[in-house]
Amino acid sequence: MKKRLPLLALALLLCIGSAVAQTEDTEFALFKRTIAPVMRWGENGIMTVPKATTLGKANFFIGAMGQEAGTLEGLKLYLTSVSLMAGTSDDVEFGYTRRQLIWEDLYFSNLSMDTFHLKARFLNIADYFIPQASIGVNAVSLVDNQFSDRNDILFNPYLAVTSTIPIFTPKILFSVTAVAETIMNENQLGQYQFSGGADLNLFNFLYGFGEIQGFDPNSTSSEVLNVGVKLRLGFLSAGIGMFNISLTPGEGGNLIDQYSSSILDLANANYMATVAIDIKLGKKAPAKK
Amino acid sequence: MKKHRISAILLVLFTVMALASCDMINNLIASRMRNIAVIQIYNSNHEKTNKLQPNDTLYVEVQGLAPLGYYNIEALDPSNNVITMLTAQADENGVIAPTPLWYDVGFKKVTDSDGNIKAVLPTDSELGLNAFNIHVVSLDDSAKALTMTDFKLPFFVVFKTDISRPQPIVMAGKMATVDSASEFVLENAYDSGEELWIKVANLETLLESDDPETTDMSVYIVPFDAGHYEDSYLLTSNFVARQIFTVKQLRDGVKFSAASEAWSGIGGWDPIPLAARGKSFSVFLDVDNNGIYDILKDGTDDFYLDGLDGNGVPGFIVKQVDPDPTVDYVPANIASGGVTWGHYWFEDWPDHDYRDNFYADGYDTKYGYDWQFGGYGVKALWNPYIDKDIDHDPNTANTLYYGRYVYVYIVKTTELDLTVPTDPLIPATGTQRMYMPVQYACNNGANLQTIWRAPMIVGDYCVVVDIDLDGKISKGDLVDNIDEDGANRPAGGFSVIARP
Repeated sequence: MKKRLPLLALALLLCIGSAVAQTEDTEFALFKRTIAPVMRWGENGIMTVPKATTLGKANFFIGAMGQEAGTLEGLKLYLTSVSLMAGTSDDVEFGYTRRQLIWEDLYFSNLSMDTFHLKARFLNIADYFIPQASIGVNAVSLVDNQFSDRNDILFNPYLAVTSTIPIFTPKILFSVTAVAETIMNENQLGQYQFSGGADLNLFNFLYGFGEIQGFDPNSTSSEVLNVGVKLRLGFLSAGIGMFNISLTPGEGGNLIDQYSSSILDLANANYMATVAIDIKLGKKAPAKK
Repeated sequence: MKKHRISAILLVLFTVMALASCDMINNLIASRMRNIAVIQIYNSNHEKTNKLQPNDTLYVEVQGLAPLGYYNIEALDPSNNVITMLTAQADENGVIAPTPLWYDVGFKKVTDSDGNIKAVLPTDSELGLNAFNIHVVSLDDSAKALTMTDFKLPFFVVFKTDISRPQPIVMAGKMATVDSASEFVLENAYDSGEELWIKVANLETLLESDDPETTDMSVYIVPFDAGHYEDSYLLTSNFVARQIFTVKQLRDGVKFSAASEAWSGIGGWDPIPLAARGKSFSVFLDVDNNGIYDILKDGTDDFYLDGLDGNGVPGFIVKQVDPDPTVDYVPANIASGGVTWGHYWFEDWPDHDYRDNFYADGYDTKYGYDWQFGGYGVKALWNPYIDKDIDHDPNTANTLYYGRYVYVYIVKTTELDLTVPTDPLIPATGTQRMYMPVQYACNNGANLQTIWRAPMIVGDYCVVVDIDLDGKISKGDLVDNIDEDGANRPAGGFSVIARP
């Protein structure tokens, strides 16, 4: 049943969207991996899919990720990301991400990209079972990493809905998230895409994740699956994930049957790793009644 | 409380590090910076941007490579299928100058009812997104690539289809019978005696109040000169023939039938005249009939005016009679010095600078110091005026996109035996088999590019364009084994000679 919960959540969310996701799912997934912040895995986001939950007031998060990009004239290249996220209130978080290509001898290239992030939670009735909802936006420059002209900025607005379910005890939490998103430039909206996933938190120590990026309700073409695990000890956490797993839904009369019989293809999958530091100055806010 | 104290200390520590040592951090970054952007992408206006117009051309620049090393550059979809690819040689500074990698960005591939693959623009009015990887890899057999290079970086571009006035898409074509009905189809290569039809997609009147049935626009046929037409190009000084049509006619497709005005002896264009054989042309649409190619309305960035079929590559060619239908390959001039007849006052037919002899130092060839090709040397420019009815399907079977690329070889004339077409083609010493992307439905649709950078090695050579990438001479492949006037040349398409 656990496997089906995220799919149920996705199916529910997809009912509200009538737009056809024509953009190829895998392309949108690649785009999202390129602009998403380094999430606090399992807390304000799954891995690259944002959750409706936020960091909380006066809490800060510094996260870093990297992946090997290859070799240039004998020196290895790494594509790295560092995000600084701040909870400016119980329901609002703001963040900045720097993506930088570096060499193995720790020299920087001048190929870099800045991204800004904002998320605001507008529905928080209860901590458990009843979904929380947030809206957010990622912003990236389209012209030479400059943010001086709004028309040269690509926005990625999204709506995230997350429901958290305690498994026997509040120390074991299962969470499902569904996201609807699009791109926007010069006040023009792109086509809608859907993402979602689930995470399991065991005693605030071990986390497991799975997420699907670029979900088209009107076709059974391949989607992109990311999976990962994270360990947390105090304010330090480290995780490893596998991304870009091709998931081809199988035959079936409904969405759940199709995904239950999915075929996974690891041919284009790759690994990513993250390390993060939490700085918690604020207390967790109670859910608004 | 204790937990908060530790967090507060950490926060203060980070803040102090970030603020108090800004200079130190900046100095550290500056001292650890290699001023190399590795890969940059550009649009066809040579702007460094991720925002492209539909039907634009994506240029790629690569830095930090081995001087004079050869590299393959691929655009890969997220599943690592090749969309398009090229081979290029880095310059003395290890830079591959901005080079066309992906023609017709925004086009997606469809299969029509006859099973033919076509490239189409998305028809909806929503913002589009292409996300892809660019992969750079050094060629194994090149001693010039000093050490291994093989890396891949993700990129994305967005393109708008909802703009104030889209740029008209001008198409040369012909009428064909499809499913018992007469229908306009794209065409790039005509026989003289055929009808030339023009159709324009994305065509809107300048004012909403204009009546498409009575509003006139001008179509110009211009000799193709292998250059790049810029904004404000004066059409009235350079055309062969022009004709005025209504917007409705152009939207529906209309036969071009004007008399030639500026090229004596060619005759009228209904049908295409005999004198046009072996020539190539561009087709301009002048929407406000001012005789000037205006890309944008003054003061706007998304109100497009005129359109063009054939910028950097021909809009259409008129074929010659196949001199020998028994041979599979197409003899054609390819090796060029690149010093092409520019966009000047129309006086004579453009000269594509096809040469029989090149000095080894290449100093009399066009120096490509920026876009598309690098340095002095032998350039490639081809127009296969002889049709062997080859397959025009793209190379990219598994992607959403239409992509087509070919091999270009320079081979020693003594090592090319056209009577034994099964022999594998062997690149001459000092050269490299190169991938070159070509435009949709157009095997002659590549920009002028350097294929052998100076200094060259003295000898006799032929250039081969291996259309089907099978590594040997086969049906439809182009072979430059002729002199600049088109006659057979026993020494091959060109010779490299020492400067006296």
